Amino acid sequence: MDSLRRLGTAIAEAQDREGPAVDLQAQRVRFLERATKREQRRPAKRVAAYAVFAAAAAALLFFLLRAPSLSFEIAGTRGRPGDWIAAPPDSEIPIRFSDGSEVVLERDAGARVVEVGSKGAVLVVERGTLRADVVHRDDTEWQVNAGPFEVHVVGTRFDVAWDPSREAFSLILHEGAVRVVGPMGDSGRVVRAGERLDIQVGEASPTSSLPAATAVASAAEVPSAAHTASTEGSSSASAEVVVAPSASASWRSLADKGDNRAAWAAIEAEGVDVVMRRSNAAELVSLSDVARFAGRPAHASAALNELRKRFPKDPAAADAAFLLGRMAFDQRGAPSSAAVWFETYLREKPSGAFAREAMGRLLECYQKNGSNEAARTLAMQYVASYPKGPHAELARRIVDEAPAPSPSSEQPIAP
Amino acid sequence: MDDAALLAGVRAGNPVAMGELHDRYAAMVLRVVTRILGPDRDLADIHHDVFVRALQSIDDLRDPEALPGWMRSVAVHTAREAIQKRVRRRRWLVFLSDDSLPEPEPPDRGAHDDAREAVRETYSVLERLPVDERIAFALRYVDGMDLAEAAESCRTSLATFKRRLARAESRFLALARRSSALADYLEGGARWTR
Repeated sequence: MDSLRRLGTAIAEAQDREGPAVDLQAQRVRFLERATKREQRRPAKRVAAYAVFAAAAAALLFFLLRAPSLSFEIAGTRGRPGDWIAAPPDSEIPIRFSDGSEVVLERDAGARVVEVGSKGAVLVVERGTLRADVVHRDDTEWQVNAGPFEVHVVGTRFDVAWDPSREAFSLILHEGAVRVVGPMGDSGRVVRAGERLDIQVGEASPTSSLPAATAVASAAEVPSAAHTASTEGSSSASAEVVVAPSASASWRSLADKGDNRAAWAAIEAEGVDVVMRRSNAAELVSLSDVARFAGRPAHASAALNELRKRFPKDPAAADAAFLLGRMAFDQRGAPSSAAVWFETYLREKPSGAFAREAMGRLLECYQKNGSNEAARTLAMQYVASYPKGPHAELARRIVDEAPAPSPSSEQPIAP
Repeated sequence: MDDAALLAGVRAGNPVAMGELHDRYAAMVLRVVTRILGPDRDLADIHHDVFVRALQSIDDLRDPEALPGWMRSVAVHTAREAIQKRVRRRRWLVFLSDDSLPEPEPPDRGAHDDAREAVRETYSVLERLPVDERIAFALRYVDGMDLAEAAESCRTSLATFKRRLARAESRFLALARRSSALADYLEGGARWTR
């Protein structure tokens, strides 16, 4: 059974590579909370004996839950506030926080997580680009500092970059809104989704002001080419603001025009992974279409997977499951994988626009991989739901030909 | 804290001991349930259930030195119940909402696409095996347990475990060879050894 040992080893290695799928620290807190409740339900005669332990548990839980600071992992290793984090020239470094927020240091970037609290964290970008995806909550307190600028975050996705040699600050908003405070001499500027803010401080004094009229403009308001406006006023003569549409606007506008080849070229120029991580649900659907039409099925599939991973509640997530099933079935010849996707679609959108086709294709999957009992059951459902559907003939044939399931068989195993 | 002190502390409801129990066995429990269930959205709940069950039946454990093996068997037993519950629900697939379907999650991009696809296909095949055979296969081949350890984890005799494993091997191979994603690996093996 060498082949099975090899397979098993490879499966285990693949699982280990993916890293732990469960936050063990959170599990610990959950277990202790449950354990304490159990202790509280002990019979009355044992209450006295365990009173001390219950009190200790309550105290421990109070300590643990009183103000549970977020924890974070740097590339899978537990991080500590103050650690210097430097991404190498050839790869990125992900920083994952226990509230689900994620920050990625792009290649060559350097940063520190200087403070971690129960509602957020403070990060300092010392050089390079940091991509942030902060989970939205009403009371979050996140802040990213870059040079003399502070980005105050509630819940959003954005990229922030700082080049200390040029004193250049850059901010791109993908979702939500942030407030930027810097050497502008005011209470800060709000930057919203689709906007990009570039500031070249140059030799400006720290109190340089940033004129509101030129600070930020939406992508829709600015010309296609970036424009530059120098700040005015005696103390801010060298501060420079560049306003431009966000990067995602260019490939999307090309895609909207139907020029998928050019759109794909724009995506590749920026980096497929980078664009994918920055995209919202609608953009990922569009990106998948562009990839498919441009003959990049693997990227089309990756975009849909990304959509389901990051936006599982979005209505497009179910449709993505259907498309992934179709790709698995048609392009990779993997009926088992395809079946899972079609089942997922039918579970999430049982009356969706693709329900009939999903059920029919699922029937084909079951038939191909030998799940005879499941195929028979589904065939009966298909005929009842879609008696004139394109798979009705196949379904009737399966119902007619398949033997009735044995009541003792636990699992449908093909002969 | 040795196992005897740990066991006594947990039985007494000492929260420090309970925290120590979790610290000591959480990773092992996660590894065992992951090997048995594969990618699964309910892993956190099942992992939690293992410790809750352990706590509920800790009085049954007499020998402190048996604690590691006992925790492993609780993990196996909890995963087994999760599978059985899922099988019962799956019979109502399509017409009833089922949150327990396997999560077809990992995005297939990057350098390990083949391995991810193989993981999905392997667990897809394992789902079609009877539960005890599925567990025997996962413990022996995916987790790499030796036969005695795996039999103990399943709370069964070595002979029974061997019979289950033999049936699991033959069913798995018959089904896996129909999967284009696994057939190449099982027949060629080159992609697994690089």
